Amino acid sequence: MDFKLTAEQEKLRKSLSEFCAAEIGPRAAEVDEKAEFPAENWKKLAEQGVMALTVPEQYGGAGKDLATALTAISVIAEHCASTAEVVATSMLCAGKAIEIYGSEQLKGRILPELAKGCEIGALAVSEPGAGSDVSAIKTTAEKCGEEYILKGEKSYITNATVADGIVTLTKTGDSFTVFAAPKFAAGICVGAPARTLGMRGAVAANISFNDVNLGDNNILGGYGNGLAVIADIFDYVRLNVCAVANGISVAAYNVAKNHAETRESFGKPLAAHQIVAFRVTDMHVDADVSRMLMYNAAWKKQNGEKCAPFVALAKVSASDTAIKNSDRCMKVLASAGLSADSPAQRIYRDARLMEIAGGTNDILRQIIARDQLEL
Amino acid sequence: MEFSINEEQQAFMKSVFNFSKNEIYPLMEEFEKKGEFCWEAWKKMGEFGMMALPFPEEYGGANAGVLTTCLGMEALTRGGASGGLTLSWGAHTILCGVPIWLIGNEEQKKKYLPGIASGEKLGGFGLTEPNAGSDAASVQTTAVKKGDKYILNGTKMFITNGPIASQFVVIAVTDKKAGHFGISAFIVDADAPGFSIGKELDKMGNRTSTTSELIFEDCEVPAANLLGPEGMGFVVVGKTILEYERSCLLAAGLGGMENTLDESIKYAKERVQFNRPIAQFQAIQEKIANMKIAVEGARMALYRVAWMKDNNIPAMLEACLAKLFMSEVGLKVADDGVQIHGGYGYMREYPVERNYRDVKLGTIGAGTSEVQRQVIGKMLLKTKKKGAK
Ligand SMILES: Cc1cc2nc3c(=O)[nH]c(=O)nc-3n(C[C@H](O)[C@H](O)[C@H](O)COP(=O)(O)OP(=O)(O)OC[C@H]3O[C@@H](n4cnc5c(N)ncnc54)[C@H](O)[C@@H]3O)c2cc1C
Repeated sequence: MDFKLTAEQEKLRKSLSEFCAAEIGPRAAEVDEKAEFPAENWKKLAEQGVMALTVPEQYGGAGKDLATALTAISVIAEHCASTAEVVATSMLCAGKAIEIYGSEQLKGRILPELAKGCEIGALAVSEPGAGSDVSAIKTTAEKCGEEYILKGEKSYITNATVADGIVTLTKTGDSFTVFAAPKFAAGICVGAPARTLGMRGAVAANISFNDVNLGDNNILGGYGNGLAVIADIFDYVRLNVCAVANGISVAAYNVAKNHAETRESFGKPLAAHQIVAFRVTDMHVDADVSRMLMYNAAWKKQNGEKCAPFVALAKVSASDTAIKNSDRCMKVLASAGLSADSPAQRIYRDARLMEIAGGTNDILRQIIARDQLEL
Repeated sequence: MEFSINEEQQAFMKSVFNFSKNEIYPLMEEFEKKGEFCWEAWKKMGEFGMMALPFPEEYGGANAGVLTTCLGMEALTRGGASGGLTLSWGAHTILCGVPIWLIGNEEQKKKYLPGIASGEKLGGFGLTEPNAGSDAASVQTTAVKKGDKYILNGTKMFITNGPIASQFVVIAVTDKKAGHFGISAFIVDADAPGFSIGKELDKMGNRTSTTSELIFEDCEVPAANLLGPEGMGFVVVGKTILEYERSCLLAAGLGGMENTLDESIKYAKERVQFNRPIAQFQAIQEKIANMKIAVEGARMALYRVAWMKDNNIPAMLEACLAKLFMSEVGLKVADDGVQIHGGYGYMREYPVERNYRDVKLGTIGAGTSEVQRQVIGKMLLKTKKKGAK
């Protein structure tokens, strides 16, 4: 048992915190307002080596473990949740799928680019008619000689507008298969950016595959193994949501704490009023427990232990807390939080996605319960 | 970070769980109903080594460390030991034993610890008074030195093991003017002249532990029984006990939650309504999931404190956080457990009914939830006006 970060992780956390406080945080409002991919932030974080964190060393990465990557994503999310979401989607969702399931050739070509931040990845599973019920997808990949022809539409895909490569789940007859599709492949068409409540910098859009030709080399994890591959990748997706959500929870706490300590009423700081102090305290308590659950789940994943229910419960805890904390933060700030200039309202809007992304919390509770009840 | 429990600890938990299930649980229902302490269960726990866990071997202890002690208590409650029994264990082992071990001099340790570690000399702890609960520093019981004795006067309230303990660690004022630093700790034997037991209290839950007032009327305590330096009792004992009680004592709470979850899973699979086990209804599944999320969060909070204490890292904030989080989510877990059992859950013969009553003490004893928030908030927040010192 050991509850602390390694010295190296702690060092990264500290230096990245300082970096983000100076470079990322001050631009969060602008990222939200523009509702565009935060290209500037992406570039700066790539220069800091963030995109390379989980990529194995032989492919130009830093070969760090999950806990390190999640630490970094949480820190970024404390300053700008959209930016963290964009980074995590590329690194942990698309990147892990290629690293674990890609052919040697594919890995050799793509991973070094991802590590440098020169390419951006996306993961496309959801469809207009298949959200929680993944097996209801309609996108097909039909085998024609040496080639596969993809047809169908994916919806709400983060990074779709900027991705260089798209990892996607298709139906192949009675089975499912995961493909990695280069964005330049003919027949890929990206729709207009979705206009969303929050996380506006993590732009999502629909992607349609109109007779897109791909080869064997584009298959991840073997023909017909799609559901198993996606189940594995979903653990990473959910851990990424954990990290972003935990960052949001901490951001909400920081904003509330700062306000409570500096604003005065009835002759004393808000923090000297018990109800306010207790509310801020509860924000810390819930965020802290969720953070431990994330590291616990990541540790299980890293060590190949059975982890799906633990990942699910860490994600539910993290996202419920993000929403709760963003609400508490609004209460502490009151009118100041409503102002479009306040980070509180952005945090409040950003938090909502967390209970939806990576499987809604209702679905994840079912996963947890079925495991407990052996159903 | 590393979240494993080693093989030895796993085996220990398993053996405690089986011991509890086979030897302790069957005794609980009868004593719960009577609202009586179960000496038979206590003796078995003593023989099994449960009271010896945290103490050094030279005093009859097992030197198990905080985490292993927690794991043992968690397994004991998960196996079906009642909250009352584990509360008695806590008042005895943690509140009476630990301060004697960590603050006591060699003579005191030699005299008291072996009996505590074996469980033969039941212990208790007297801090709370009728007019001093959360505001513990406002205790009014006095101790005046006279020759080689201290003379104690006052009343203690809500004292676990009060009617049956052989010795108590008692907090009393030695210098009224010195505030926090005028409060001292004593070891008081139950046969000390002038000591008597007040009214035994009838409780909502934790009914297998006895609770009473302690009355001191010119009670004579040998000066050799002063625990730690005079005037340091409140500060030193408080500091020593707090992190322990907000870890080791909580472990039983985690076990209680797990017991409720285990029972609810079993029941949901067995109980058939509308032609199917109720486990198949989404609303039941959602409760099970929420219970599991609470259990795992509580586990993290608890194990972290234990790990910190085993590694000599100060854990005051984390201990208060664990106490607050666990006791608050514990209420919901117990409530969901009864709800899943429906009317049967309202009946005395089901463990979830007992768990429901037992769990409420969590947000009150050893510092209410409000007190935990107060302490944590003080550590987190600056509450001074700008410019003020
Ligand atoms: C079964 C049982 C066993 C116990 N065993 C022992 C034992 O062995 N030894 C021992 O010494 N004590 C023991 N206690 C006492 C226990 O520690 C106290 O009950 C507890 O500290 C609360 O004190 P109180 O009951 O006087 O409540 P009070 O302090 O009167 O509190 C009443 C309410 O006011 C709130 N409150 C008080 N102050 C504040 C504040 N500053 N801000 C916000 N809210 C506040 C409290 O949170 C609570 O909700 C036991 C209690 C019980 C019920």
